[in-house]
Amino acid sequence: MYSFLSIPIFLAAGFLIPFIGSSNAKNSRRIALIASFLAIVVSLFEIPSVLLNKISVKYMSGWMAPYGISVAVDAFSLVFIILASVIGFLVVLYSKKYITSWSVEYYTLLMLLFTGVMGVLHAGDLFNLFVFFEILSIASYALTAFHKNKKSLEGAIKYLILGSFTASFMLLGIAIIYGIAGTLNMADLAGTLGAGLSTSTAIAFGLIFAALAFKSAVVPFHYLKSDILEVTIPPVGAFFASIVSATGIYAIMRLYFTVFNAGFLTHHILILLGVMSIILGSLMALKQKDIMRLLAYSAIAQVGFVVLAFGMGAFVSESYIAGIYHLINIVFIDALLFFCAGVLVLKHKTTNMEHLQGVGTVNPVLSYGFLIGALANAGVPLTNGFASKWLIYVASIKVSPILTIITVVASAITLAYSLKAYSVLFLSNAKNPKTIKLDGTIIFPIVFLCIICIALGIFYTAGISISEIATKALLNNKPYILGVLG
Amino acid sequence: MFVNYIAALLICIGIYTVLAKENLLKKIIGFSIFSNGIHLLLISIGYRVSGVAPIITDIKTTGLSLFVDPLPQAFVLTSIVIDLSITALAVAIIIQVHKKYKTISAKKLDNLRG
Amino acid sequence: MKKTISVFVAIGFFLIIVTAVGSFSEKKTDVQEYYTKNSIEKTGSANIVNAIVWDFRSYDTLGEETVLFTAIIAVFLIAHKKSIAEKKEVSG
Repeated sequence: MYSFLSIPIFLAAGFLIPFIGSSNAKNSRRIALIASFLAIVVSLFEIPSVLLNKISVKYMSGWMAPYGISVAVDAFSLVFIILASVIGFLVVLYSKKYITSWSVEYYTLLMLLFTGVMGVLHAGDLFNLFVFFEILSIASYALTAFHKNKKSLEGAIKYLILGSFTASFMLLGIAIIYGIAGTLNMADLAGTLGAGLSTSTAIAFGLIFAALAFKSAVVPFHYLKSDILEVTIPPVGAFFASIVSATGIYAIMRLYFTVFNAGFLTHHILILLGVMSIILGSLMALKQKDIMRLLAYSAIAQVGFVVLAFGMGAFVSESYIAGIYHLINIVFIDALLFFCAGVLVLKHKTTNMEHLQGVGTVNPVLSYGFLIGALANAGVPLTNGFASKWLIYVASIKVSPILTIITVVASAITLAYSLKAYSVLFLSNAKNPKTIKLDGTIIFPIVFLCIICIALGIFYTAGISISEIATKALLNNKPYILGVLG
Repeated sequence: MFVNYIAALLICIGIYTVLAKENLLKKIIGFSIFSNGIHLLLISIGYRVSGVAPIITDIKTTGLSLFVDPLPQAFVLTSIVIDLSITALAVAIIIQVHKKYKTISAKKLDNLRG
Repeated sequence: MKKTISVFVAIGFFLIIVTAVGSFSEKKTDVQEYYTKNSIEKTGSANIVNAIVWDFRSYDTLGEETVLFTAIIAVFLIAHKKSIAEKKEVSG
């Protein structure tokens, strides 16, 4: 079990940085870079052990499965683990220019945020999931208030009250499950609860779903996402929009398929929530004057596509593949868009698009990066967004023509606001364009993400086969139960 | 086992306080009441009729004498620490908010548009 | 208006929790038996809750201490007098 080592690596980095960084602040960034690079290496080592429907299990402190805590990784988890470590490395690299002071606290909190994400992705026990979810939440409340100006503090306190309130719903759901089943191990629960949902189990799952949906901004729990992404610093905003949302969706799907084995009654609810997210996200993004809010609502709409694809999976079984493929794609697309827009925010210290008119014309790397991101967001052919959206259209035709109309219209609206943002920022004539000199630490993440977006679009068969392996691991929970319980 | 219903009542009082009160500190107190209601519910799940505290006093006669369930008590210990951390962080942010806004009423914080 | 809605939401949650709680049964789980039998010989502790927190489920205790550490760093970041622009860093 190599990929579990990423949790001790990030924890050790988080504890070491305050000691070593107090004397020399540049060391904190070096420790963070080394830790995130090692995390990529160990998660890549895990690939051979999860192919062919095997899972990789580790029993913490040696106690066997229902009596102790188990950590289990299958193909579905490993996709997210590799994504999280790669985007984490890019975020650490990209934040060099943004952090001029308080860097020791920033990198410590960032390392602890990564620990929380990795812990949630590896969890094999419900209470363990809750504890690491709280680590992730508290680190994100603190990083929201990093600027300490008026708006950031207001966003942070609103986020904290609503977020901790919702996370306690998760604890309530876990309490109800413990009362029903007597154990909290995921594999053991899957065996005990059987198939289908009874009333109490449905209430518990609904409460846990509410907590996770708040983190990943599924409508109607999307309320504060745009506020938060407006006030954070851009690297952290990129990480929130891409990986934290994906982690929430991962946890929901893990509980839905592996633990509860929920059956097909609730698929209609997922389709409804997906459609509401798509409509609300696209329409609200169209009327925003603020670049970060526009990208936030765009991320909400893309997550809606993923939830819709998972909901349609009951009727069309290829729709699960489309859902996972689209989730991989939107992680890269949202990170790319936030990285490009963030540089402009850094230079001009405002997020209002009217003040930012034409400031991007001075730098071609930013222009091309944002253009590729905008086209991929809308689903133009040759980009990765097109491949996954096409699968979703095909699946939705078989379910109902109304869904096809809604998704195609939403993609058209996405094209409209993405190109509007691109033209305002990068094509108009600016009043006083300052030249932006870009460092290697900013150019490398943007170029890397552009290459991945185009590569996943041209070689779409690779993306589809990865999603197929992940879907097979997700839908069939018998290997999971046998692997953990032994 | 009517302790379950008292715990549910505490949870509802907590939910009402967080949603309806405007003062930020009162919302934090409401969150604390809500959290303690959940802890009470967890511990009352572990109750066994005529059970004793889960401490082994005599090795010979342990057998399977009736203890109350020790597992929810471990969950509550962890959850109390998490709740404490959130409250401390919330109060720190509220102090800074008061310095900038001169008020701690949630209705007056409206710099961020919806 | 807001208070009325919150009262209704609170009462709704009360009914939901009462419904869910009604289906509990007091059963003796084999997990509890395992802890009771093996607490002294394998962990050497007569207090079973202590054995769970520090031995059987010590990973959760590690996570809880990390939460405490995160909150400490966060309070240090937020409650300091100087804002971002004013703090000069030690670098060398």
